Amino acid sequence: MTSGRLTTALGIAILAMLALTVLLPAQQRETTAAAKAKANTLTDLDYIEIQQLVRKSAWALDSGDNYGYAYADLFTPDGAFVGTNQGPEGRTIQGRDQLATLARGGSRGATVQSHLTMNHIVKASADGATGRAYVAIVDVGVVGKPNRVNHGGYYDDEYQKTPQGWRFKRRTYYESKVDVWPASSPRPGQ
Amino acid sequence: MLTALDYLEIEQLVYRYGYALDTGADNGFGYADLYADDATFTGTNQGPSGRTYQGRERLAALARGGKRGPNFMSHWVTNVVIEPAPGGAIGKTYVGIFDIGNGGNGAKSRVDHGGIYNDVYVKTAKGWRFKSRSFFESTSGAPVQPPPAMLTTPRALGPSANPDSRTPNPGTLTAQDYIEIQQLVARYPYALDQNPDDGQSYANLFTTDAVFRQPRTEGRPNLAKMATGAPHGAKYARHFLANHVIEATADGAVGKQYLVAVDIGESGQPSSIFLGGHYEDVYAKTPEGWRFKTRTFIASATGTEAK
Repeated sequence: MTSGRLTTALGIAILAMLALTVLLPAQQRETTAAAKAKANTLTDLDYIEIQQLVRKSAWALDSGDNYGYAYADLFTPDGAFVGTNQGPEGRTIQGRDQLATLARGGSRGATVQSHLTMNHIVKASADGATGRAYVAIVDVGVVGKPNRVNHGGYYDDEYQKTPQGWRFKRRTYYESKVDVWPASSPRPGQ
Repeated sequence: MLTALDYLEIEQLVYRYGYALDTGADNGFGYADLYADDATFTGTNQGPSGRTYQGRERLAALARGGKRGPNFMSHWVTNVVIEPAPGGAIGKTYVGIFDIGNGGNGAKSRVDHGGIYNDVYVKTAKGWRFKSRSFFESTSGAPVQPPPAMLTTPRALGPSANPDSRTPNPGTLTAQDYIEIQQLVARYPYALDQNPDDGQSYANLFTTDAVFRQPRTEGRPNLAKMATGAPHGAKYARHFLANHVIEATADGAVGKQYLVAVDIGESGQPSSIFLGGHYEDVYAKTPEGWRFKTRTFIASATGTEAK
Protein backbone atom coordinates (compact mmCIF):
# COMPACT_ATOMS: atom_id res chain seq x y z
CA MET A 1 0.00 0.00 0.00
CA THR A 2 1.40 3.44 -0.93
CA SER A 3 1.58 6.20 1.65
CA GLY A 4 -0.91 8.24 -0.45
CA ARG A 5 -3.49 5.47 -0.32
CA LEU A 6 -2.80 4.99 3.37
CA THR A 7 -3.45 8.67 4.03
CA THR A 8 -6.70 8.50 2.04
CA ALA A 9 -7.80 5.41 3.92
CA LEU A 10 -6.94 7.01 7.26
CA GLY A 11 -8.82 10.14 6.22
CA ILE A 12 -11.94 8.13 5.41
CA ALA A 13 -11.65 6.24 8.68
CA ILE A 14 -11.35 9.46 10.67
CA LEU A 15 -14.31 10.99 8.83
CA ALA A 16 -16.35 7.89 9.49
CA MET A 17 -15.48 8.02 13.19
CA LEU A 18 -16.42 11.67 13.37
CA ALA A 19 -19.71 10.97 11.63
CA LEU A 20 -20.40 8.16 14.10
CA THR A 21 -19.64 10.39 17.06
CA VAL A 22 -22.13 12.96 15.82
CA LEU A 23 -24.80 10.43 14.88
CA LEU A 24 -24.56 8.02 17.78
CA PRO A 25 -26.43 9.93 20.50
CA ALA A 26 -29.47 10.47 18.28
CA GLN A 27 -29.43 6.84 17.16
CA GLN A 28 -29.06 5.66 20.72
CA ARG A 29 -32.10 7.62 21.82
CA GLU A 30 -34.17 6.09 19.05
CA THR A 31 -33.07 2.52 19.55
CA THR A 32 -32.89 2.25 23.34
CA ALA A 33 -36.27 0.54 23.57
CA ALA A 34 -35.58 -1.74 20.62
CA ALA A 35 -32.11 -2.61 21.90
CA LYS A 36 -33.49 -3.40 25.34
CA ALA A 37 -36.09 -5.75 23.91
CA LYS A 38 -33.44 -7.30 21.68
CA ALA A 39 -31.12 -7.87 24.61
CA ASN A 40 -33.89 -9.92 26.19
CA THR A 41 -34.85 -12.19 23.33
CA LEU A 42 -35.66 -15.70 24.48
CA THR A 43 -33.75 -18.71 23.22
CA ASP A 44 -35.49 -21.92 22.21
CA LEU A 45 -34.53 -23.43 25.56
CA ASP A 46 -35.97 -20.41 27.44
CA TYR A 47 -39.31 -20.97 25.69
CA ILE A 48 -39.23 -24.66 26.50
CA GLU A 49 -38.32 -24.10 30.16
CA ILE A 50 -41.09 -21.52 30.58
CA GLN A 51 -43.55 -23.92 28.93
CA GLN A 52 -42.43 -26.63 31.33
CA LEU A 53 -42.79 -24.27 34.31
CA VAL A 54 -46.42 -23.51 33.48
CA ARG A 55 -47.24 -27.17 32.86
CA LYS A 56 -45.58 -28.20 36.13
CA SER A 57 -47.69 -25.68 38.04
CA ALA A 58 -50.87 -27.55 37.08
CA TRP A 59 -49.37 -30.84 38.27
CA ALA A 60 -48.09 -29.32 41.51
CA LEU A 61 -51.40 -27.65 42.30
CA ASP A 62 -53.56 -30.72 41.64
CA SER A 63 -51.23 -33.20 43.35
CA GLY A 64 -50.38 -30.99 46.33
CA ASP A 65 -46.97 -32.73 46.21
CA ASN A 66 -44.53 -32.19 49.07
CA TYR A 67 -47.22 -30.62 51.27
CA GLY A 68 -47.81 -27.97 48.64
CA TYR A 69 -44.16 -26.92 48.47
CA ALA A 70 -43.77 -28.41 44.98
CA TYR A 71 -46.11 -25.60 43.89
CA ALA A 72 -44.58 -22.93 46.12
CA ASP A 73 -41.09 -23.68 44.79
CA LEU A 74 -42.14 -22.80 41.26
CA PHE A 75 -42.27 -19.16 42.45
CA THR A 76 -39.38 -16.81 43.26
CA PRO A 77 -38.91 -16.29 47.02
CA ASP A 78 -40.94 -13.06 46.82
CA GLY A 79 -43.30 -14.46 44.20
CA ALA A 80 -47.05 -13.95 44.48
CA PHE A 81 -50.28 -15.49 43.27
CA VAL A 82 -53.28 -13.20 42.84
CA GLY A 83 -56.75 -14.72 42.67
CA THR A 84 -58.86 -11.88 41.29
CA ASN A 85 -61.95 -14.08 41.71
CA GLN A 86 -61.45 -14.51 45.47
CA GLY A 87 -63.71 -11.97 47.15
CA PRO A 88 -64.66 -8.56 45.83
CA GLU A 89 -61.10 -7.20 45.99
CA GLY A 90 -59.33 -10.39 45.00
CA ARG A 91 -56.65 -11.99 47.16
CA THR A 92 -52.86 -11.93 46.97
CA ILE A 93 -50.87 -14.86 48.32
CA GLN A 94 -47.17 -14.19 48.75
CA GLY A 95 -44.37 -16.20 50.30
CA ARG A 96 -43.35 -19.85 50.21
CA ASP A 97 -45.43 -21.08 53.18
CA GLN A 98 -48.52 -19.19 52.07
CA LEU A 99 -48.29 -20.57 48.54
CA ALA A 100 -47.77 -24.10 49.88
CA THR A 101 -50.86 -23.72 52.07
CA LEU A 102 -52.84 -22.71 49.01
CA ALA A 103 -51.59 -25.73 47.05
CA ARG A 104 -52.42 -28.31 49.72
CA GLY A 105 -55.95 -26.97 50.34
CA GLY A 106 -58.93 -28.49 48.55
CA SER A 107 -59.02 -31.74 46.64
CA ARG A 108 -55.46 -32.93 46.01
CA GLY A 109 -53.69 -36.12 45.08
CA ALA A 110 -51.73 -38.04 42.46
CA THR A 111 -54.91 -38.96 40.60
CA VAL A 112 -56.45 -35.48 40.63
CA GLN A 113 -56.24 -33.97 37.14
CA SER A 114 -58.24 -30.80 37.23
CA HIS A 115 -56.30 -27.79 35.89
CA LEU A 116 -55.95 -28.01 32.11
CA THR A 117 -53.65 -25.30 30.79
CA MET A 118 -53.56 -24.58 27.08
CA ASN A 119 -52.86 -21.72 24.67
CA HIS A 120 -49.69 -20.74 26.49
CA ILE A 121 -48.14 -17.65 24.92
CA VAL A 122 -44.74 -16.32 26.01
CA LYS A 123 -43.08 -12.97 25.32
CA ALA A 124 -39.70 -11.53 26.24
CA SER A 125 -39.87 -8.54 28.58
CA ALA A 126 -37.32 -6.03 29.84
CA ASP A 127 -36.38 -8.17 32.86
CA GLY A 128 -37.46 -11.68 31.91
CA ALA A 129 -40.64 -12.82 30.24
CA THR A 130 -44.39 -12.54 30.49
CA GLY A 131 -47.04 -14.99 29.42
CA ARG A 132 -50.65 -16.04 29.43
CA ALA A 133 -52.35 -19.41 29.50
CA TYR A 134 -55.96 -20.52 29.45
CA VAL A 135 -56.95 -22.75 32.34
CA ALA A 136 -60.07 -24.93 32.48
CA ILE A 137 -60.87 -26.46 35.83
CA VAL A 138 -62.66 -29.75 35.24
CA ASP A 139 -64.23 -32.24 37.62
CA VAL A 140 -63.43 -35.71 36.34
CA GLY A 141 -63.60 -38.93 38.26
CA VAL A 142 -65.45 -37.31 41.14
CA VAL A 143 -67.23 -40.07 43.04
CA GLY A 144 -70.95 -40.02 42.35
CA LYS A 145 -70.86 -36.99 40.04
CA PRO A 146 -70.90 -36.65 36.27
CA ASN A 147 -67.73 -35.28 34.67
CA ARG A 148 -68.01 -31.60 33.88
CA VAL A 149 -66.23 -28.36 33.23
CA ASN A 150 -66.38 -26.55 36.57
CA HIS A 151 -65.00 -23.13 35.70
CA GLY A 152 -61.99 -21.49 34.12
CA GLY A 153 -60.25 -18.41 32.85
CA TYR A 154 -56.68 -17.40 32.27
CA TYR A 155 -53.38 -16.75 34.03
CA ASP A 156 -51.39 -13.60 33.46
CA ASP A 157 -47.78 -14.40 34.37
CA GLU A 158 -44.44 -12.73 34.98
CA TYR A 159 -41.45 -15.06 34.79
CA GLN A 160 -37.95 -14.50 36.12
CA LYS A 161 -34.81 -16.44 35.33
CA THR A 162 -33.08 -17.52 38.54
CA PRO A 163 -29.96 -19.67 39.12
CA GLN A 164 -32.43 -22.54 39.66
CA GLY A 165 -34.21 -21.89 36.37
CA TRP A 166 -37.30 -19.95 35.30
CA ARG A 167 -39.78 -19.16 38.09
CA PHE A 168 -43.08 -17.29 38.53
CA LYS A 169 -42.56 -13.80 39.89
CA ARG A 170 -46.26 -13.06 39.77
CA ARG A 171 -49.24 -15.05 38.55
CA THR A 172 -52.70 -13.50 38.35
CA TYR A 173 -55.84 -15.49 37.71
CA TYR A 174 -58.84 -13.99 35.95
CA GLU A 175 -62.16 -15.80 35.70
CA SER A 176 -63.56 -16.06 32.17
CA LYS A 177 -66.41 -13.68 31.47
CA VAL A 178 -68.45 -12.90 28.37
CA ASP A 179 -69.14 -9.23 27.72
CA VAL A 180 -70.63 -9.45 24.25
CA TRP A 181 -72.97 -12.27 23.34
CA PRO A 182 -74.56 -11.66 19.94
CA ALA A 183 -78.21 -12.66 19.60
CA SER A 184 -77.24 -14.90 16.69
CA SER A 185 -75.10 -17.06 18.97
CA PRO A 186 -77.14 -19.69 20.87
CA ARG A 187 -76.89 -19.70 24.66
CA PRO A 188 -76.42 -22.87 26.69
CA GLY A 189 -79.68 -24.72 27.13
CA GLN A 190 -81.19 -23.23 23.99
CA MET B 1 -36.27 -27.50 7.42
CA LEU B 2 -37.61 -25.96 10.61
CA THR B 3 -35.46 -25.01 13.59
CA ALA B 4 -36.55 -25.55 17.19
CA LEU B 5 -37.37 -21.82 17.32
CA ASP B 6 -39.55 -22.10 14.21
CA TYR B 7 -41.57 -24.85 15.92
CA LEU B 8 -41.91 -22.72 19.05
CA GLU B 9 -42.88 -19.57 17.14
CA ILE B 10 -45.51 -21.42 15.11
CA GLU B 11 -46.86 -22.92 18.33
CA GLN B 12 -47.04 -19.39 19.80
CA LEU B 13 -48.98 -18.21 16.73
CA VAL B 14 -51.42 -21.08 17.17
CA TYR B 15 -51.90 -20.23 20.86
CA ARG B 16 -52.36 -16.48 20.21
CA TYR B 17 -55.29 -17.38 17.99
CA GLY B 18 -57.52 -18.27 20.96
CA TYR B 19 -56.92 -14.95 22.72
CA ALA B 20 -57.41 -12.89 19.58
CA LEU B 21 -60.68 -14.58 18.68
CA ASP B 22 -62.17 -14.73 22.19
CA THR B 23 -61.30 -11.17 23.18
CA GLY B 24 -62.01 -9.63 19.76
CA ALA B 25 -59.10 -7.33 20.69
CA ASP B 26 -58.49 -4.24 18.59
CA ASN B 27 -61.91 -4.53 16.94
CA GLY B 28 -60.99 -7.94 15.59
CA PHE B 29 -57.79 -6.77 13.92
CA GLY B 30 -55.75 -8.57 16.57
CA TYR B 31 -57.18 -11.73 15.02
CA ALA B 32 -56.87 -10.59 11.40
CA ASP B 33 -53.20 -9.74 11.88
CA LEU B 34 -52.35 -13.35 12.73
CA TYR B 35 -52.91 -14.06 9.04
CA ALA B 36 -50.67 -13.25 6.07
CA ASP B 37 -52.00 -10.66 3.61
CA ASP B 38 -53.88 -12.95 1.24
CA ALA B 39 -54.70 -15.62 3.82
CA THR B 40 -58.00 -17.38 4.40
CA PHE B 41 -60.06 -18.88 7.17
CA THR B 42 -62.62 -21.51 6.19
CA GLY B 43 -65.35 -22.70 8.52
CA THR B 44 -66.33 -25.98 6.90
CA ASN B 45 -69.18 -26.19 9.44
CA GLN B 46 -70.79 -22.92 8.26
CA GLY B 47 -73.56 -23.84 5.87
CA PRO B 48 -73.73 -26.84 3.56
CA SER B 49 -70.53 -26.06 1.67
CA GLY B 50 -68.62 -24.10 4.30
CA ARG B 51 -67.63 -20.45 4.21
CA THR B 52 -64.28 -18.81 3.49
CA TYR B 53 -63.14 -15.43 4.80
CA GLN B 54 -60.29 -13.63 3.05
CA GLY B 55 -58.72 -10.26 3.66
CA ARG B 56 -57.95 -8.30 6.78
CA GLU B 57 -61.34 -6.54 7.03
CA ARG B 58 -63.38 -9.73 6.65
CA LEU B 59 -61.26 -11.64 9.13
CA ALA B 60 -61.53 -8.79 11.65
CA ALA B 61 -65.30 -8.70 11.17
CA LEU B 62 -65.40 -12.42 11.87
CA ALA B 63 -63.49 -11.96 15.15
CA ARG B 64 -65.65 -9.13 16.42
CA GLY B 65 -68.90 -10.84 15.42
CA GLY B 66 -68.87 -13.64 17.98
CA LYS B 67 -69.12 -13.97 21.74
CA ARG B 68 -66.26 -11.99 23.19
CA GLY B 69 -64.82 -9.98 26.06
CA PRO B 70 -61.38 -9.08 27.36
CA ASN B 71 -61.52 -11.99 29.81
CA PHE B 72 -63.49 -14.47 27.71
CA MET B 73 -61.88 -17.87 27.22
CA SER B 74 -63.50 -20.17 24.70
CA HIS B 75 -61.08 -21.65 22.14
CA TRP B 76 -58.88 -24.27 23.84
CA VAL B 77 -56.17 -25.39 21.46
CA THR B 78 -53.91 -28.38 21.99
CA ASN B 79 -52.25 -31.36 20.27
CA VAL B 80 -50.32 -29.04 17.93
CA VAL B 81 -48.56 -31.04 15.20
CA ILE B 82 -46.20 -29.10 12.91
CA GLU B 83 -44.38 -30.28 9.79
CA PRO B 84 -42.06 -28.53 7.37
CA ALA B 85 -43.58 -28.00 3.92
CA PRO B 86 -42.50 -26.23 0.73
CA GLY B 87 -42.67 -22.48 1.38
CA GLY B 88 -43.19 -22.82 5.12
CA ALA B 89 -44.99 -25.32 7.27
CA ILE B 90 -48.28 -27.12 7.71
CA GLY B 91 -49.96 -28.18 10.91
CA LYS B 92 -53.05 -29.31 12.65
CA THR B 93 -54.48 -28.84 16.14
CA TYR B 94 -57.46 -29.89 18.20
CA VAL B 95 -59.79 -27.17 19.41
CA GLY B 96 -62.31 -27.55 22.20
CA ILE B 97 -64.86 -24.73 22.23
CA PHE B 98 -65.97 -24.35 25.82
CA ASP B 99 -68.56 -22.02 27.30
CA ILE B 100 -66.86 -20.87 30.47
CA GLY B 101 -68.15 -17.80 32.24
CA ASN B 102 -71.50 -17.04 30.71
CA GLY B 103 -71.75 -13.34 31.41
CA GLY B 104 -73.12 -13.86 34.89
CA ASN B 105 -76.39 -15.36 33.66
CA GLY B 106 -75.98 -18.32 35.97
CA ALA B 107 -75.59 -20.88 33.20
CA LYS B 108 -73.14 -23.68 33.94
CA SER B 109 -69.79 -23.97 32.21
CA ARG B 110 -69.79 -26.66 29.59
CA VAL B 111 -68.13 -28.03 26.48
CA ASP B 112 -70.01 -26.49 23.54
CA HIS B 113 -68.40 -28.16 20.55
CA GLY B 114 -65.02 -28.73 18.94
CA GLY B 115 -62.96 -30.24 16.20
CA ILE B 116 -59.76 -29.83 14.27
CA TYR B 117 -57.94 -26.99 12.54
CA ASN B 118 -55.82 -27.69 9.48
CA ASP B 119 -53.27 -24.97 8.86
CA VAL B 120 -50.69 -23.68 6.43
CA TYR B 121 -48.10 -21.33 7.94
CA VAL B 122 -45.85 -18.88 6.15
CA LYS B 123 -42.86 -16.96 7.52
CA THR B 124 -43.28 -13.26 6.81
CA ALA B 125 -41.12 -10.24 7.66
CA LYS B 126 -43.24 -9.92 10.84
CA GLY B 127 -42.89 -13.55 11.84
CA TRP B 128 -44.90 -16.72 11.26
CA ARG B 129 -48.50 -16.19 10.10
CA PHE B 130 -51.44 -18.31 8.99
CA LYS B 131 -51.66 -18.65 5.24
CA SER B 132 -54.80 -20.69 5.57
CA ARG B 133 -56.76 -22.22 8.41
CA SER B 134 -59.77 -24.51 8.07
CA PHE B 135 -62.01 -25.72 10.85
CA PHE B 136 -63.59 -29.17 10.76
CA GLU B 137 -66.26 -30.05 13.29
CA SER B 138 -65.62 -33.34 15.08
CA THR B 139 -67.86 -36.20 14.03
CA SER B 140 -67.50 -39.81 15.05
CA GLY B 141 -69.70 -40.99 12.17
CA ALA B 142 -68.75 -43.56 9.57
CA PRO B 143 -65.22 -42.93 8.35
CA VAL B 144 -65.28 -40.41 5.51
CA GLN B 145 -62.69 -39.36 2.99
CA PRO B 146 -60.64 -36.66 4.67
CA PRO B 147 -60.30 -33.34 2.85
CA PRO B 148 -57.14 -33.03 0.75
CA ALA B 149 -55.45 -30.55 3.09
CA MET B 150 -55.50 -33.03 5.95
CA LEU B 151 -52.30 -34.76 7.00
CA THR B 152 -53.67 -38.23 6.47
CA THR B 153 -50.61 -40.34 6.90
CA PRO B 154 -48.46 -38.91 9.64
CA ARG B 155 -44.95 -39.13 8.34
CA ALA B 156 -42.36 -40.89 10.40
CA LEU B 157 -40.86 -38.59 12.98
CA GLY B 158 -37.53 -38.40 11.25
CA PRO B 159 -34.32 -38.03 13.17
CA SER B 160 -32.96 -34.51 13.40
CA ALA B 161 -31.16 -33.23 10.31
CA ASN B 162 -28.33 -32.03 12.50
CA PRO B 163 -27.10 -34.89 14.67
CA ASP B 164 -24.75 -32.53 16.54
CA SER B 165 -27.71 -30.57 17.93
CA ARG B 166 -29.05 -33.65 19.68
CA THR B 167 -28.43 -34.87 23.17
CA PRO B 168 -24.76 -34.17 23.78
CA ASN B 169 -24.54 -36.41 26.83
CA PRO B 170 -26.83 -38.63 28.86
CA GLY B 171 -29.18 -36.93 31.26
CA THR B 172 -29.74 -33.77 29.24
CA LEU B 173 -32.12 -32.93 26.42
CA THR B 174 -31.59 -30.36 23.68
CA ALA B 175 -34.30 -28.01 22.45
CA GLN B 176 -34.64 -30.29 19.44
CA ASP B 177 -35.23 -33.31 21.72
CA TYR B 178 -37.97 -31.45 23.63
CA ILE B 179 -39.66 -30.45 20.38
CA GLU B 180 -39.53 -33.99 18.99
CA ILE B 181 -40.97 -35.48 22.20
CA GLN B 182 -43.71 -32.81 22.23
CA GLN B 183 -44.50 -33.64 18.62
CA LEU B 184 -44.57 -37.37 19.38
CA VAL B 185 -47.17 -36.82 22.09
CA ALA B 186 -49.14 -34.34 19.93
CA ARG B 187 -49.46 -36.98 17.21
CA TYR B 188 -50.89 -39.58 19.54
CA PRO B 189 -54.52 -38.31 19.54
CA TYR B 190 -54.67 -38.11 15.73
CA ALA B 191 -53.39 -41.66 15.33
CA LEU B 192 -55.99 -42.90 17.81
CA ASP B 193 -59.05 -40.77 16.96
CA GLN B 194 -58.66 -40.63 13.19
CA ASN B 195 -56.75 -43.87 12.70
CA PRO B 196 -56.39 -43.62 8.92
CA ASP B 197 -54.47 -46.90 8.48
CA ASP B 198 -55.73 -49.71 10.73
CA GLY B 199 -53.66 -48.56 13.65
CA GLN B 200 -50.31 -48.47 11.82
CA SER B 201 -49.68 -44.77 12.59
CA TYR B 202 -50.63 -45.43 16.19
CA ALA B 203 -48.38 -48.48 16.59
CA ASN B 204 -45.46 -46.67 14.95
CA LEU B 205 -45.44 -44.09 17.74
CA PHE B 206 -44.13 -46.87 20.00
CA THR B 207 -40.84 -48.76 20.08
CA THR B 208 -41.07 -52.33 18.78
CA ASP B 209 -40.91 -53.69 22.34
CA ALA B 210 -43.21 -51.05 23.87
CA VAL B 211 -45.82 -51.72 26.53
CA PHE B 212 -49.10 -49.81 26.91
CA ARG B 213 -51.26 -50.10 30.01
CA GLN B 214 -54.22 -50.49 30.68
CA PRO B 215 -55.17 -52.93 29.21
CA ARG B 216 -51.60 -54.24 28.97
CA THR B 217 -50.76 -54.28 25.27
CA GLU B 218 -47.36 -55.24 23.98
CA GLY B 219 -45.80 -54.92 20.54
CA ARG B 220 -46.87 -52.99 17.46
CA PRO B 221 -49.36 -55.55 16.00
CA ASN B 222 -51.29 -55.65 19.28
CA LEU B 223 -51.16 -51.86 19.65
CA ALA B 224 -52.55 -51.44 16.13
CA LYS B 225 -55.35 -53.86 16.95
CA MET B 226 -56.16 -52.00 20.18
CA ALA B 227 -56.32 -48.62 18.38
CA THR B 228 -58.62 -50.03 15.72
CA GLY B 229 -60.94 -51.32 18.45
CA ALA B 230 -61.42 -47.75 19.74
CA PRO B 231 -63.96 -45.30 18.27
CA HIS B 232 -62.45 -43.45 15.32
CA GLY B 233 -63.33 -41.50 12.21
CA ALA B 234 -61.57 -39.29 9.70
CA LYS B 235 -62.95 -36.15 11.39
CA TYR B 236 -63.10 -37.37 14.96
CA ALA B 237 -61.47 -35.43 17.83
CA ARG B 238 -61.73 -36.91 21.28
CA HIS B 239 -58.37 -37.02 23.13
CA PHE B 240 -57.33 -33.59 24.40
CA LEU B 241 -53.86 -33.62 25.99
CA ALA B 242 -52.47 -30.83 28.17
CA ASN B 243 -49.73 -29.99 30.68
CA HIS B 244 -47.07 -32.12 28.97
CA VAL B 245 -44.01 -32.22 31.22
CA ILE B 246 -40.72 -33.79 30.03
CA GLU B 247 -37.64 -34.77 32.03
CA ALA B 248 -34.29 -36.16 30.97
CA THR B 249 -33.16 -39.52 32.33
CA ALA B 250 -29.86 -41.38 32.03
CA ASP B 251 -31.05 -43.32 28.98
CA GLY B 252 -33.72 -41.11 27.43
CA ALA B 253 -36.62 -39.19 28.89
CA VAL B 254 -39.80 -39.56 30.88
CA GLY B 255 -42.91 -37.44 30.73
CA LYS B 256 -46.52 -37.13 31.70
CA GLN B 257 -49.58 -35.25 30.53
CA TYR B 258 -53.26 -34.75 31.35
CA LEU B 259 -55.98 -36.28 29.22
CA VAL B 260 -59.60 -35.30 28.92
CA ALA B 261 -61.58 -37.39 26.48
CA VAL B 262 -64.38 -35.12 25.25
CA ASP B 263 -67.45 -36.49 23.53
CA ILE B 264 -68.28 -33.62 21.22
CA GLY B 265 -72.08 -33.46 20.88
CA GLU B 266 -73.43 -34.57 17.52
CA SER B 267 -76.88 -34.10 15.97
CA GLY B 268 -77.82 -31.51 18.58
CA GLN B 269 -76.78 -33.62 21.56
CA PRO B 270 -74.85 -31.87 24.35
CA SER B 271 -71.10 -32.41 24.62
CA SER B 272 -69.72 -34.16 27.66
CA ILE B 273 -66.44 -35.28 29.19
CA PHE B 274 -66.12 -39.03 28.78
CA LEU B 275 -63.17 -39.43 31.13
CA GLY B 276 -60.07 -37.74 32.44
CA GLY B 277 -56.76 -38.72 33.91
CA HIS B 278 -53.13 -38.76 32.99
CA TYR B 279 -50.48 -40.62 31.02
CA GLU B 280 -47.08 -41.59 32.44
CA ASP B 281 -44.54 -42.14 29.67
CA VAL B 282 -41.04 -43.42 29.08
CA TYR B 283 -39.53 -42.20 25.80
CA ALA B 284 -36.64 -43.79 23.93
CA LYS B 285 -34.59 -42.31 21.12
CA THR B 286 -34.47 -44.78 18.25
CA PRO B 287 -32.99 -44.49 14.75
CA GLU B 288 -36.55 -43.53 13.66
CA GLY B 289 -36.72 -40.72 16.24
CA TRP B 290 -38.26 -40.48 19.72
CA ARG B 291 -40.84 -43.16 20.53
CA PHE B 292 -42.98 -44.31 23.46
CA LYS B 293 -41.27 -47.15 25.30
CA THR B 294 -44.01 -47.41 27.89
CA ARG B 295 -47.24 -45.46 28.21
CA THR B 296 -49.55 -45.92 31.17
CA PHE B 297 -52.97 -44.34 31.54
CA ILE B 298 -54.20 -43.64 35.06
CA ALA B 299 -57.79 -42.47 35.37
CA SER B 300 -58.56 -39.46 37.49
CA ALA B 301 -60.21 -40.31 40.79
CA THR B 302 -61.24 -37.54 43.09
CA GLY B 303 -62.95 -37.94 46.41
CA THR B 304 -64.53 -34.54 46.36
CA GLU B 305 -65.10 -31.80 43.83
CA ALA B 306 -62.11 -29.78 42.70
CA LYS B 307 -62.00 -26.23 43.96
